[in-house]
Amino acid sequence: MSDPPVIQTRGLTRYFGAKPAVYELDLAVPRGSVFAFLGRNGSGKTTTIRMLLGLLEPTRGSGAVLGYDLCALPPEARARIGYLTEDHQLYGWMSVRQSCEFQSQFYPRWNGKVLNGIIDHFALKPEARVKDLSRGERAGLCLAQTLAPGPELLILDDPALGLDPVARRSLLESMLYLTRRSARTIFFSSHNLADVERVADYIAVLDRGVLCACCTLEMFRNSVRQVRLRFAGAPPPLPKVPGLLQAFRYEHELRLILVRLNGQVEQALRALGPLEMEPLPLPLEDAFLSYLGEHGERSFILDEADRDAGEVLKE
Amino acid sequence: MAFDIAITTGSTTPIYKQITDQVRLAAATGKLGVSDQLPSIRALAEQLVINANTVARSYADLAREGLIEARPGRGVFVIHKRKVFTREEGWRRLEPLVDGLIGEAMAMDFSREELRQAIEKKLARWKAVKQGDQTHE
Amino acid sequence: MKALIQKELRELVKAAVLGLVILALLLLQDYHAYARAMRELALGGAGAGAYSPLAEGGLLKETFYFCAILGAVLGWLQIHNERRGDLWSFLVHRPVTRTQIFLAKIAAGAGLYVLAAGAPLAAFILWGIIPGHIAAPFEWAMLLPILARFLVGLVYYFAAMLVGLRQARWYASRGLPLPTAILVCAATNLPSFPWMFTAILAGIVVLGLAAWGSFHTNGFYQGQPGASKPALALALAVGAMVVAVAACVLAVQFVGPGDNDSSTSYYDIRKDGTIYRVTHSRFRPAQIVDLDGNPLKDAKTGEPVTPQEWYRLRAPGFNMDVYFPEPARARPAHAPALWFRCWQATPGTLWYYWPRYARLVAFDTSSRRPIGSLGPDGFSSGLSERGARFDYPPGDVPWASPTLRAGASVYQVQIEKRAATLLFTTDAGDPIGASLDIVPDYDWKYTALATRKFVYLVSSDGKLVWKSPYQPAYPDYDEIRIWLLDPPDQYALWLSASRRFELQSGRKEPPQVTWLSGARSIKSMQLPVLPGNPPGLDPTGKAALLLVPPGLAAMMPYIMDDPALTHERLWPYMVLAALLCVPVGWWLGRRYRFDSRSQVGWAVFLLLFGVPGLLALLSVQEWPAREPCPNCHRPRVVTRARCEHCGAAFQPRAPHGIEIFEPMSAPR
Repeated sequence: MSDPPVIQTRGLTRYFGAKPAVYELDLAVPRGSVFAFLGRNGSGKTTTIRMLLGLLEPTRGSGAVLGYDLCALPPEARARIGYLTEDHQLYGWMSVRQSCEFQSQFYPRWNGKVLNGIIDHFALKPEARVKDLSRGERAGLCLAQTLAPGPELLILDDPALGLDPVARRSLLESMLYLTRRSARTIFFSSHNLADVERVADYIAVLDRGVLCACCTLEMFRNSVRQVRLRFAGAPPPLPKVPGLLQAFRYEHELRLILVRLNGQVEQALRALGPLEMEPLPLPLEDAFLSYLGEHGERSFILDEADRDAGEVLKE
Repeated sequence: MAFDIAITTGSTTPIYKQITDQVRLAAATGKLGVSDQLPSIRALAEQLVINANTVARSYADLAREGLIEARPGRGVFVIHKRKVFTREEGWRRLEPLVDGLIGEAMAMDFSREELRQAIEKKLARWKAVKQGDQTHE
Repeated sequence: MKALIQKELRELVKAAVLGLVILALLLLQDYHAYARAMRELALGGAGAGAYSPLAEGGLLKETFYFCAILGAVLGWLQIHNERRGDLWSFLVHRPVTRTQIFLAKIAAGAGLYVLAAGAPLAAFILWGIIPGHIAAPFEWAMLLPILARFLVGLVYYFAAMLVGLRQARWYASRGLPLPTAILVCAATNLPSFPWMFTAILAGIVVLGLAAWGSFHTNGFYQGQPGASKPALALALAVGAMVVAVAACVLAVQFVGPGDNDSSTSYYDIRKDGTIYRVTHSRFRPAQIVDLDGNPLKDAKTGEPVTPQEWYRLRAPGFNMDVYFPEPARARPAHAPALWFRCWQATPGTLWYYWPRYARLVAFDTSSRRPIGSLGPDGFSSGLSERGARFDYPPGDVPWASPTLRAGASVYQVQIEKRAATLLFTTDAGDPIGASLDIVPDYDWKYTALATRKFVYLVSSDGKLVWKSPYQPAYPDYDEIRIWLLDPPDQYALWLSASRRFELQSGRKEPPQVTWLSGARSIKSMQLPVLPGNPPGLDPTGKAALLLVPPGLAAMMPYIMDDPALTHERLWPYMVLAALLCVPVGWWLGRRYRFDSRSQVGWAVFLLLFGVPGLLALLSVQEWPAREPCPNCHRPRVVTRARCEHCGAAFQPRAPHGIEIFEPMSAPR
């Protein structure tokens, strides 16, 4: 049975001036999944989320959320989508209670139990002014207000930004609580790779506005591999290997992190004439960092100065 | 049930594999006995604060191995381990662990003899437990 | 909706209350000033401040500035509250349409404005209307300017919202709605009420639509609803026009030809009747020469006479403008001075000339009620429309003059005795078009009258001194001047052409002077035309007119009632300016691939609005970037999926080899 994706975009593009912030984005978010949206700062994640919610017009391309066109999201669609803004914005002059009362008047289905549950979880006092709350408390309040209408789709823009570890954990728990009932989808952007490892089913990676990866977490982990090549002498210069992310050069070793270690790549590497070539395990976080970070070669060969330092330490 | 599963993020082992490994080890060392109940998928996911699909995958793998069984309406239980792996497969899974053990021991300057004795001692205990298992059946 | 309105009210209430308090204090000040002036009057003082606070300048200026500022502050605050961070997204992502959110904002903001500005004003007006509080005439039409200025606050309200909303740079076009609001508010000075209110309401509607559209997209132009885009373009075009005209005028002042030696000349008469031409120049001393060109020299020193000395040598002159009201063009009463005219204060009474009754109305200073009126038929108590009326066009009533005219007669008015006695009647009941009391040194000596046929000079005891034919006749020549020459009973009579006549003929017309001795006319001559500024606009005005859209310029003569603005020679330039803008706009549209509806719409807009329209186009439109097409290598806009030259689609970025893609399937 083919369930249409909750979010689907086709060639979604947005230019700011002459530079594209988001370029030809083709995304399909399956219903009921927890979908993580990764990328460095400035890679276009917030712009994409704004376009998905109809808050920003795309330069070209199209998309649909819950079956509705992005440019014309009707109020009934908005009632089913929960959105957590970056920065957890709320009206500062309201108290916690006033803010919740204000929000509750817009939604026909408002689950007070969920609201109070999360507010208690974050230990918020009802009469506290929003502008006096800490970052984490405000995030909790925003989250409570976003989850209370029981949205089918939850879109979170960097929800853990600026939160302390306890608040971050509470946030994760609340997000997972939402997925208790199936067919609830969570689409969130994050920099916290540990959290992504915990909760994400799928990830998508944006690099300078272009989608580089869109797959399950498992596939990502299986694709990014680390290989160690040991040489008798100094390692030879590397040829252009397709899918090479990073290379580390040591005295007698080359460590490579690549995407897709297939037969062709293995052949190319063996042609360098290593003594040994063995795969090394790679933690997911390091895989992410290599994927998102600067690609290229780095050298860790000791020079004279370092060697002298090493001598001193030995004594 | 004095059995606790803990996971770490940022490890070289995927989370689902950490769970299966821990359950397998617990079953093998006797921490988990036959007919012991494991937490449900939802409960374990909430406890570990991870995606329920990950737990589901571990449990599916364990069930495929024949280590656990889901009884509808009652829960997930450990069952007698059926031999699923061939000896080659089994050895392939075991080898890295043996390498690791030997490596650590060498790095800490234990001698071969010391290591062998330690293993023998552990095996003796294990044999006792395994015999205890067999008498139950 | 209710929750939104409550939230907006709560956010604005402080500013509104502050505004209300300030206006109440200002009005209280007006009240006290009036009470103090009336007290002074009762004590026998001059009563200089005893006016009607509802009509005079003070209240109008206060309401104008106050309403404008309060409206702008409220509008700005409503937008500024959501400027921080992503609050706009938070506000807009709700199961409510953006139009509903905007309407909630307006309901709160405009509603608070109406309360904060309206309540004190209403209270003050109510105080003024109730008889017994203000000792002055009251016309309901007097409330119209106050209402207009009250509505102006809403124009500024929407303008401030638009300024806050738009995604534009401050130094570029973000502040343009404010000059638009200023121009609309200048409409409060228009001479006719229907045009005034039309302009203000049009301003509210246009700026309101533009603000609504900008709210929809958080200030971007792309994606706005269809109705608001023309409104935004129009608002910015008007603002751009104001800024451009102001910049042009400033530039011409500083840089333009205004620097060369400009001079003005006029004719004047010495006490012995000789005519001299006085020329004031910017860079040279004043010159006084006679008709043969000889400069006037001081008899003793032989030096040319200085202007100061001239003022002692010249004969006293008295001007009057003749105006026979034409029934077809009745000018509506607009300015406060046209509703009534302060006349004089006698002990215990304030007198006003009230055009509604065309009589002098007396108000008792203690009871502050009208007690009666004085007309050609004498004083009668009470006020009645059926009394005899004096005869003056609106706005031309003199102040505290010894005489007033009606029909073909002139009456001497003695306010203390409450009497009006007939002074003089013209021959054959010829209606009088102008009358002037000649009061040299505060001593009333003569009264001059002009009918269509004759100019009369009457002495203060009612005897005719002389009667001279009014040639060339009204309406071509409508300015009359009478000089009293030094041997008494010698006079000079001057007639000069009306501006309308000069504009029609396209040149300056020669003035006519007649010398009279006693009742006899001695000499009559036509003076040579003085070189001076030709009628019409100076170069600054002409340059400024080029920037005015032809559409608006066509309407201006009707709105402004100024014949100079229909100067035909300027039309070709204005139309040319507009016609030049259309191709520029068309080229921009083709370069950036506007859709056909936008192309045509902008072409029509540029035709109507000329240069300011082009400025609006540049401010409003977000220009899409252009990139080289991967297929045909020509620049193509990024808003189209297909290249306009070769039809190729945009290519996704070339894969680096590190892509990881997997077809999506639903999780188990």
